[in-house]
Amino acid sequence: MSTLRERARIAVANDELQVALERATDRFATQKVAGASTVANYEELREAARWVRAGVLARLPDVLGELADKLESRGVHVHWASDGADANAYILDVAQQCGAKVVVKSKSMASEEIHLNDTLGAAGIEAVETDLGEWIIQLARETPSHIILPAIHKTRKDIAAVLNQVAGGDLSDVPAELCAFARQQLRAKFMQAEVGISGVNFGVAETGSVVIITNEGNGRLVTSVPRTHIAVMGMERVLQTWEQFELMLALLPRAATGQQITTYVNALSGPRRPGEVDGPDEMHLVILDNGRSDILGTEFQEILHCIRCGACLNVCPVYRQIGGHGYGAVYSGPVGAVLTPLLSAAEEAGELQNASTLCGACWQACPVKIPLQDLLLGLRRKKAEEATSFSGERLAWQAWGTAWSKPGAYRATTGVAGAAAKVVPESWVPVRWREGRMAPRPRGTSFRHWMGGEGSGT
Amino acid sequence: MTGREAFLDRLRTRLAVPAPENLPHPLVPVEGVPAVAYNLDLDDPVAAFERAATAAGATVRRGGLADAGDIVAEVLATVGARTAVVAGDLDVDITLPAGVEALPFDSPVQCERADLGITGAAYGIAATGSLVLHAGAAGGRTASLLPPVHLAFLRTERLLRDAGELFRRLGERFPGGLPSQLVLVTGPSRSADIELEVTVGVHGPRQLWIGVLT
Repeated sequence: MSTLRERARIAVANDELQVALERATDRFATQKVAGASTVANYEELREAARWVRAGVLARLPDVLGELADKLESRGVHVHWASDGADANAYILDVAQQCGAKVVVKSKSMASEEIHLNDTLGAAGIEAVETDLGEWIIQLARETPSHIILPAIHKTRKDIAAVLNQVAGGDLSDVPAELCAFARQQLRAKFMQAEVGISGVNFGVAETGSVVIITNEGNGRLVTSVPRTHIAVMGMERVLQTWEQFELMLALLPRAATGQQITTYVNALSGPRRPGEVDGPDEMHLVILDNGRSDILGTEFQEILHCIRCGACLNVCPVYRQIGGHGYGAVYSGPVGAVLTPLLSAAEEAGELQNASTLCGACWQACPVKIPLQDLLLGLRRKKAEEATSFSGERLAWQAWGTAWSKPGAYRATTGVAGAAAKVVPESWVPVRWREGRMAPRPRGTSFRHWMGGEGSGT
Repeated sequence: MTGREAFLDRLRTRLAVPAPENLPHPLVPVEGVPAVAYNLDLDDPVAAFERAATAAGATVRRGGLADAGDIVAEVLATVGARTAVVAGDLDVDITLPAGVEALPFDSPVQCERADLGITGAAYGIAATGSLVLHAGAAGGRTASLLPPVHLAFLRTERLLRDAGELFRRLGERFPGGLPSQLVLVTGPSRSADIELEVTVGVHGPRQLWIGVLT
């Protein structure tokens, strides 16, 4: 697997990607500001949302228990999956019991996280992504590069080329034509599929409901047409009350796209009831842990407040340069830089906390006010503490810290450092450090001396 | 131990020690859940609904109950529909003209064949121009979803100011429990997945017409 540095270099050198990233992130960041201005108390709502999310997590076992009880009383099968393999095995079993050949999916980051499509595909079941962006990248055999715009890195020409693999070369690159083709192709899959699989934006315990928020309507189709619906929910994506949901619904679309509300807000509370004319006969909810419980009770718990709007990606100076693929993981941007190392023990994920300037723009943009820069800094500290091997760098920093906490030693060493910087050639500075930086050149006199204060002799 | 007990026990163990406080940015306690204060003129809910729904891409017609037929005729003529499904519990009187086949609404397959779906609406939300539809009504989940054009009739007395008026009073609005599906619909189906260019009708209806009847 490539390193962060290698992936970043490739991304920065890709002119088309840079244009696409700038267009999308600028537009979304601007629209978010406009969206926030349509409510008078946006800041009050953010603060309240942070408090609400913290309260739900503190009572998570009870809230999940209530959600499951209510859903089960409506005939929903609830499965508790400790990890991805557990979730995948359950979903595959349900699909096979239904005799499924085709499964339609609406966007679910949780199912990306557990690589569900690979499991279904290996068992000979065709899993079709139906969100337009997800379908495009599935056909291109890529991974999403943005939480809400999975194909953000592709131009219309790229997309036309991908869809022409299916269409046989007849499509132009006009978005309306590409969409019409997708509608026709995917509608046939919806009518054919035995099982629909969706993600969950929020579970609401009060009534035993799961809510799916979309613009395209594929989330409605997946949960309305096939005979069986399976929803996959990260265990933290739950609320206690509809009052809390009203708050989240005011924040999520505004933060994500600047919309006051998405086209569809779809609340599902079970399979078709007696007297209802359509809807699935069977409904399942898979509640996924997959490493999340390890984060509970730690200083990083607040990352589980995330409602997956993508606002932190759009404002992040790192994401804006390297895009989602630069992170080499399912979750990208500041939230991904925190979540990925916590969810995955892989050594590779251990460098993602460095993909940040600690500027805090993510925290400012976050609708539930997660202090992402504090979490990133905490992860860096943890990483440094865990480094057990002998480290010359650590000794040097310790010596420096000791010296500069005493005024005499500080004065003595600044003089030496200034003199040394004049005679040491820049080529002695490590190449990796010099990349993209300019070494500071000392002025000759110290600031204290220049100000005529202590040490100047006057 | 069942999967559920093991799963929840693990969470209880982890939560037994509360997460350390984030000292640079501590949590600020908030009493209750504040209502959303919209920067909108909602004094005339019908006008506000029309503005918001139109901004979301819907086409709104206002009239009295007697105007329903004219609205249907306008939609049929505009979209050139030859088949339509009509939700059985529609409380407005409409007759499809000769030449337009009425499909019985008994399954998603019929809705898939229809050029137009006509339904009622349980509620409307003025602040966002949203319709509230649900699976317990005769339009089910699919009459408003599968046809390329959806026409909904909304009675003005069913108009709510904002989403809070729905979500904070769900229990009294659905005393028998929630229908298996409740959906807020705001404008036609849309996507911006190709270079952020907004296109309509990628999955749901390309056109949403709303007859607001007094």
